[in-house]
Amino acid sequence: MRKKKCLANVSITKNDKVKVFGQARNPIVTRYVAEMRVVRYLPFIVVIAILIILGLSVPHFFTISNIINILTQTSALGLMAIGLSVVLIGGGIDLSIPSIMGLSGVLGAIFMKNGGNPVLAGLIMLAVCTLSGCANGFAVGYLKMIPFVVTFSTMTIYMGVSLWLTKAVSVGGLPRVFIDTVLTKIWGVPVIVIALIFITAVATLLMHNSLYGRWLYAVGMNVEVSRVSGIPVERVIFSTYVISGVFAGLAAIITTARLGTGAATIGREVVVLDVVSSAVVGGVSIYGGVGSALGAVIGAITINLISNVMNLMHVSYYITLVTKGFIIIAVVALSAFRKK
Amino acid sequence: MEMKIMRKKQYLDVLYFIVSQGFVIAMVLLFIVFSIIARNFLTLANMIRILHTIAPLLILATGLALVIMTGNIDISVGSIAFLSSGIGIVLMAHYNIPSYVAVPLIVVVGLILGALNGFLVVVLKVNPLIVTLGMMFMLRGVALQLTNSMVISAPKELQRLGYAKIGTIFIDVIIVVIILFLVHFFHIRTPFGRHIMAIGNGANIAGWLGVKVPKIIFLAFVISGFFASLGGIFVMSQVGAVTPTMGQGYEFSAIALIVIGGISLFGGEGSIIPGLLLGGVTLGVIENGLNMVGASPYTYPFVKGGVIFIAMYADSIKRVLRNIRLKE
Repeated sequence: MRKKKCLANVSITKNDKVKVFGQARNPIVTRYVAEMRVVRYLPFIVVIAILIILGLSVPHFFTISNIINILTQTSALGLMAIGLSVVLIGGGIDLSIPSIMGLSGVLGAIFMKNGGNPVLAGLIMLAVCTLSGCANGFAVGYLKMIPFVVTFSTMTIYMGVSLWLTKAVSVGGLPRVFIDTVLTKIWGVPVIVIALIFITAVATLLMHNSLYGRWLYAVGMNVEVSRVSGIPVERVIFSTYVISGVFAGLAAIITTARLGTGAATIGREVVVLDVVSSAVVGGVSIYGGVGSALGAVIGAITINLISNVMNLMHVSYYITLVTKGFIIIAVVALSAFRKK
Repeated sequence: MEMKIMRKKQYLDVLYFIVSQGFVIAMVLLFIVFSIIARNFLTLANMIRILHTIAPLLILATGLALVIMTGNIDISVGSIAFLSSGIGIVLMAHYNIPSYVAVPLIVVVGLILGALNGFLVVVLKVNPLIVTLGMMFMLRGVALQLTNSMVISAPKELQRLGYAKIGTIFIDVIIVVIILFLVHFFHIRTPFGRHIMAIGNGANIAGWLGVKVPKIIFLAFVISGFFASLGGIFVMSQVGAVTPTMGQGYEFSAIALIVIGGISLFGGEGSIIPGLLLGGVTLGVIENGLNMVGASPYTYPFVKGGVIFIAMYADSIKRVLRNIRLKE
């Protein structure tokens, strides 16, 4: 009896091995794998294509100063995209990132205009964003509300508050110290670009190699399995929104300094589209559990380049909207196709 | 011991009642507060005005409610309203096409856009949130390009329709009520309506039981596009023009109205009458009351966001409570 069972087991494992071996050589499967690879590297291919077009059509495109320029433009969007990618990987979505940025920019600018200390103002901006992120995270993680609707409604609330505070007028007259400090250059490279590269590297490494990163991906892949395996699911989900809030705060400091004003409009709805498409183009899955911070930043660079190309080609702003809307649907449709 | 369980059950029942009927209670309180503070609030004329203002949004939300009941979402309704009436108004203003041709065309455009959403969600299996988020910006971009982001005024007969009255009641209010009753009947008496609820409660199981899930979801999106364009026509006739900001934030107000009306965002729960109607009236009362009290218009989004947040929270608690009650 025992022997029989044993034999049966062996034969099954043998069969399995044969099957697995056979699958790897199956032409349909090989093509499937190839397709996956194409889709995964799509953003990189798009970036390279755009770069080649730009390099050929725009003189002095591939100069160091221009590359730094592009990175400076992308910095705020890139940071927000990292924040969103953390939330998306954890299985949620955060539409309120730009409006949080707008609110904290406005509050910081009002504080500085009334003679506040610039350092303190920066801290206030970060604190406001962190608190707003906490509110989102608490609602989604602990109160079990739907992430999309929570952040959609907080988006309206934060946007409403910043419009209310400023009466829809931008707050100017920021101290030069604040602007100069944020826009400092070290050997010709702006601090924000260095910060963007550094933060991207750290975030990518932490997400792939730390325990927290493992938890994050696990929760995004399957909440129930993660809960059973002892991961503090609520805390992880809560933390993703706090992290995205912090990144919104960093973006707020950069944007406020670059514009020289605090305005509610820096968090307008179009920015939401930019941030979400950056993450999605950068290969972060909206279903959770897939993606990286580096990908999100490359996605942000792609979106920024697309905006620039459209600008150079004198395409109207509305057509830019249409293109961006189309890109986000197309990318998600492609990844859905890959899943099938 | 039995007493304790009984008492706990009573407590749960009371809590469940408060949470599920919370907005009726809140509305009664709001009504009292506003009537005390603002003198002109509790008049027949004002009540009719509240219904009149909320009418376009109610129509727009009707279709969206059906989509939400299937457990999906459509946040492109505001842009569908804008683009479809934008196309209609350009035809009427620049090409002198009579309004009795252009208005049906607006509805056809709405149907087509809804079908496009449905196609992307059902056939290409793209996440509905992303589809309609992308669509929201795409359609707005197309419409702004088409109208050159200018205010184009509607022909006289449409403007008159927006303020026409039968007796003391606006025509659009009557139309809205008729539509709501029709959709309500459609929702609770036809197989299609029941299938929508079945899908919302569990698409897989509904599929196994023979419900044609993709077809129903597709139709729900088409209906949502239809009602969005119809809502657009009502806005156009009330405002008397198509403005570049038309439809902006409508998706949010419509979701607020739906959640307040007790239609669960998790799908498979809620009703058109009384749910949606009550939600609409509550939202109308809040906006009108704030206006009467003299609050700054900048506070509206803030208040609306707060209201939707509370309503959603009540929805979540309701689910938890119901699960506890079912277990006992």
